[in-house]
Amino acid sequence: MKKITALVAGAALFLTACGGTSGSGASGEDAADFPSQNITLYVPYAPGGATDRTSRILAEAVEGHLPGESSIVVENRAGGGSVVGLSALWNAKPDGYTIGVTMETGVATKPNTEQVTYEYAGFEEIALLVQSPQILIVAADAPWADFDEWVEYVRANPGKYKYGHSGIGSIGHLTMEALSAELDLDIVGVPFGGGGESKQALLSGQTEGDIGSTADIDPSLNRGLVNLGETIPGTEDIPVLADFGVSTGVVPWIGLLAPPETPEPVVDALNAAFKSALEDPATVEKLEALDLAPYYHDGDEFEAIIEQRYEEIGAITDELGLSVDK
Amino acid sequence: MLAKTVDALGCLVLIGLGAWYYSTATQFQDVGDGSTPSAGYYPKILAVALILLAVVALAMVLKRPAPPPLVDSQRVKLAGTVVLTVLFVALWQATGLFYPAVALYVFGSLLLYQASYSPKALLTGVVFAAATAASVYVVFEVLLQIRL
Amino acid sequence: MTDAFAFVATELLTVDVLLAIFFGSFVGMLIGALPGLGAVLAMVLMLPLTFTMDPMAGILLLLATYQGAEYGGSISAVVLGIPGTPAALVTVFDGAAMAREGNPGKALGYSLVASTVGGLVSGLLLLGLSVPIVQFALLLGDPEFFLIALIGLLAVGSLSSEDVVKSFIAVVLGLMAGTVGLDTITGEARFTLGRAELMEGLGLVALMAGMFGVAELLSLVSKKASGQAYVTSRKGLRTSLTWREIRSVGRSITLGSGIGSLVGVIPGMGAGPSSWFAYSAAKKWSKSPQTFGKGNPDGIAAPEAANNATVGGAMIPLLSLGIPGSPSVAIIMGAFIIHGLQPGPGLFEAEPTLVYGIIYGFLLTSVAMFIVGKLLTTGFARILTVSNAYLIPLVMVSIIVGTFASRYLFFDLWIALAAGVVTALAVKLRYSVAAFILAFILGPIAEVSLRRTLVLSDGSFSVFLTRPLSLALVILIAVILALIAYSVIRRATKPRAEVDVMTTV
Repeated sequence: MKKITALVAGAALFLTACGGTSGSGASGEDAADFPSQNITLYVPYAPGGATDRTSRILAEAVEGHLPGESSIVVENRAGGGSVVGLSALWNAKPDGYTIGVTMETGVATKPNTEQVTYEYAGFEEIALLVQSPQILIVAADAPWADFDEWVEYVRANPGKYKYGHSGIGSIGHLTMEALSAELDLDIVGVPFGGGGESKQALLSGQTEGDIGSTADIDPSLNRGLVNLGETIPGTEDIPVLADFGVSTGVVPWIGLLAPPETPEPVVDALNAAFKSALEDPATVEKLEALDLAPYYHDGDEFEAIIEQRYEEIGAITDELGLSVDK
Repeated sequence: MLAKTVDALGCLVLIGLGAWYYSTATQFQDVGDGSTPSAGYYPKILAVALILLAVVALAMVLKRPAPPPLVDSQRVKLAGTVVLTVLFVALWQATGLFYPAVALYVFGSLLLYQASYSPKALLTGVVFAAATAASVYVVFEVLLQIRL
Repeated sequence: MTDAFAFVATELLTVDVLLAIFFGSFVGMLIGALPGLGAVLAMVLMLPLTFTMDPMAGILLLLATYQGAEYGGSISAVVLGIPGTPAALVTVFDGAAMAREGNPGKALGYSLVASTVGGLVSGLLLLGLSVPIVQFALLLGDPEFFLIALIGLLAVGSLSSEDVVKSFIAVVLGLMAGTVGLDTITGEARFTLGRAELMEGLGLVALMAGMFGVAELLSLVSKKASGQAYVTSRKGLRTSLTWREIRSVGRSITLGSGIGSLVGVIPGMGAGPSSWFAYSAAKKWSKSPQTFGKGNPDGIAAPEAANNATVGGAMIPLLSLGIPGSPSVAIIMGAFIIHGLQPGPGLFEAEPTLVYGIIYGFLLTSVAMFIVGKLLTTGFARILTVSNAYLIPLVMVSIIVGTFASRYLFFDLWIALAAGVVTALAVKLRYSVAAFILAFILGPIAEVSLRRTLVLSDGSFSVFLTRPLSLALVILIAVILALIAYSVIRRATKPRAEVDVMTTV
C-alpha cells in the first residue's frame, strides 16, 4: 500500500507532501501489530558469498514464523568488509523494519582496526543465529597425517610454511595468528581476495594450506587437517584444535542486529520469530546442507559474546600492529 | 583561448594530484619484514610517473596551437542538464522521496530540451514525467524488488 | 556415450528445463541491458526461484540468466554507447561507432552472432576439454597472473594514438584510481579519505556509469541538433546479417571464443579483461587496424565472443575443482550448495547425469540466447529512433537508478556525476577514457599478484624465470617491448612516416 502511495505521489508530480516511502509509519503503531509491512534485512556482504546465501535461507525460513503476512526482503549493502552495511544499519530508522546480519568482522574486528562510524556495542542485539566451521585445509597428498605432525614440520621449518587466507583481519587470518602465538610458530599468511583464489593457490601448489569450510573440501583434491572451531554436523571426521590440547579456537557465527533504540517489544518479536525458525527441522536441514549449524543465543548472550571477542581480537591486532588509535 | 587555458590548468591540477598522492603514499606503514614492497611502493612510482607525464603534457599544451573550443554550442542546455541532475540526486538524498524527485527532474529536462513553454508542452511534460516515474516503479520496485 | 547422451537428453528436454532456460535468457538480457545492472544482480533476483526448483532446472536458469545478462550488456553498449556490464566495455568502441553511422541493427547482429558462437564454443570446451584445461589452469599462479595483466596494460597504450602523452596520463590515473581502498596484502586503507564507501575501492559500476553514461549524455546535449534522434531511417534497424558478413568476422569470433574461454578459467580476471584481450588480439591480427574504434565489425565480434565464452570458461574450474572464479559463478555455486550438492570432482562421480545435463544445457542456453536476442534486439535498436529530448532524461534516470541499485549508495551517484562531468571535459582535451578504465580494471590484478608473488617467493624475482609458463610470458613481453622500441627508432629516423608507436603492440 505504501508503495502505491509513493507512486501516486510521483505521478501527481507536485503533491510532495503525501510522500511516505519506505520505512515510515511504525513509530506510532502498537508493537502488538508488528510486523505490519515487509522487513528489510541488510546483508553487509556482496551477493553470492556464504553470508548472503545463509541470510537468504534464513529470510525465507523465518517468514512462516512471523505473525501476519509480512516477508523479509534481503538487501545487499556490501563494502568495507561489512562496515558500509553496518553503518547503514546504525543510521536506519529503529522501528524493526530494518535489521541486519553481521559476522564477527563487523562488530569485533573492524572497530579495532579502523575508525568506524558506529559503536560496536551500541546496536540492539536480536539473536545469534548460526555457526559455520573454519578448517585448515591441506593438499590431499600433504605429508602430515595429523595436526601434531604439522606442528612438528612447521617448527622444523620456521618461516617456510605459507597458507592462504581471505584477507588481513579475516577470521581465518586472526585465528591462525592466535594459534601461532600460542604454539610459538613462525608461519606466513598470504592474503587472497576470496575463497576461490586461495583454494586455487593450494591446488596449484603455490601455498601449502588454505582456510575454508567443508564445502571447499573434496577428497580427491584436498583434506581438512584441523577444525579451528567446534565440531558441527557434517564435520565429525575432522578433529578440532582442542583435541590436540590447544586452547585457541574460534567459532565463526552470523548474528542479527537492529539499529540502536529499536523498541524492546519489537526486538523480542523478531527474536521469537528467528528462534522458532531455527528450531524448525526443515530449516535445520537446509542449514546443514550449507554446512551451518543453529547457534542460537539470545540478545544478552550475543552482546556478551561480541564484547568478549572485541577484547580478544583487540589483543591480536595490537600484537600485529593492525589496531587503530581508539 | 579558453580551451588552452583549461588544458594547461588541467595539467597543473594533475601535478598537484600527483604531489598529494605521493605524500599520502609516504604515510603508509611498513608491515612485515620489509623483504617485499610495502603498500606505498607502487603508488609512489605512479605519482612520479604522473607528475613527469603532466609536465611534458603541459609543455606540449603551451607549445601547440589552441585546441578546438570545449563547448560546441548549447551552453544553456549543457549547464542546465548538470544542474538539474545534481538537484535531482540532492533532493532524493535529502528527502528520501525518489518518485517526486524523478518526476520533477524528467519534467524539467523535457522543458529544457524542447525549449518550449506552451500549455501543450507543459502537459506533455507532466504526462511524460508521470509515465517515467510509473515505469521506474513497475520495473524496479515491483519486478526487481529494489527499494528506491 | 550415445546412450548417456540420450539419457541426459530426456532429462534435459523437459518443459520445466526449457522454460527455465528461456525465462532466464529473457530476464537476464533485459536486466543486463539496463546500465548499472549486471549479471550478478539478475542472478540474485533469480536465486530464490531456484530454491524450489529441481537442481538441473535451477542451475540452468541461473546460467541462462548469466549468459543473457552478458549479452544484454552489449545491447546498451551498442545502442547507447553505455556498457551495461563491465564485460561490454570494449564493445562500446566499435559497436557504438557502427550504430552512430546509422547501423545499430547490424552492430547488434554482429554482437548476437558472436556472443552465441562464443557461448557454444566455451560449452563444447567445457564438455570435451575440461580436464586438460584445468591441468593448464593449475600451472598458473600469481607470477603468471601478473605478467598477463602486464601484457593487457601494455596493450592499453594502443588505444589512442591521438595524443600519446595524454593516453599515458590516463593509464596512470586509472592505475591510481585502482589503488583506492583496502590494500589486499597489508590490509591498510589507501587514499580512502576516511570513507567506508571507498574501502573496497571506487565502484566500477559507478565509474562506468559516469564516464560512459553521464559523459555521453552531456556530449549529446551539447551537440547542435540535440533535439533529434540518432537514427531516422528504419533501414538501419534490421539485425540480419548476410552469410558473407558472418564469414568475414569468423576469425575474430574464433579468436574471441578461445581467449574468452581460457581467461574465464583464471580466477579473478573475468569477462572485462577477457574481452579486452580478445579485442587487442583481433586488432593486432587485423588487416586494417586503423579502422578499429570506428565501427569495424571485428571490433564487435571479438570481444562479444570472448565475454560469453568467459561464462563457459568460468564453469570449468567450478565443475572440476569447486572454485568459483567470479561473483557470478559464486552465485551458481551457491545454488549447487543450497541443493546439497558440492561442485568438484566428487560431483562428476556422484551425479553424472546432473553434471552432463548442466553442460549440455549450457549449450542450450546459448541457443536460447540467440532466439530471445533475435526477438528482442530490433526493439532495442528502435530506442535510437526516440527523439533525444525524451531519450536523454530517460537514459539519465536509468543510469542513476541502476547505479544506485547496485550498492544502494548515494555516494556512488555523486562519484558517477563527478566522473561524468570531468570525463566530458577530459574527452574534449583528448584524454583517453577507455585507457583509464582498462587500467583501472587491470591495475589491481597486476599490483596484487606481483606483491603476492614476492610474498610467496620470499622477495625473490627469480621466480618469474624459473616457472616455465612465466618464462614464456616474460619472453613475450620482451618481444613486445623490442617491437615498440624498433618502431620508436624508425619513427625518429623517418619523422614524417605514419608509424604509430603503439599499434605494434
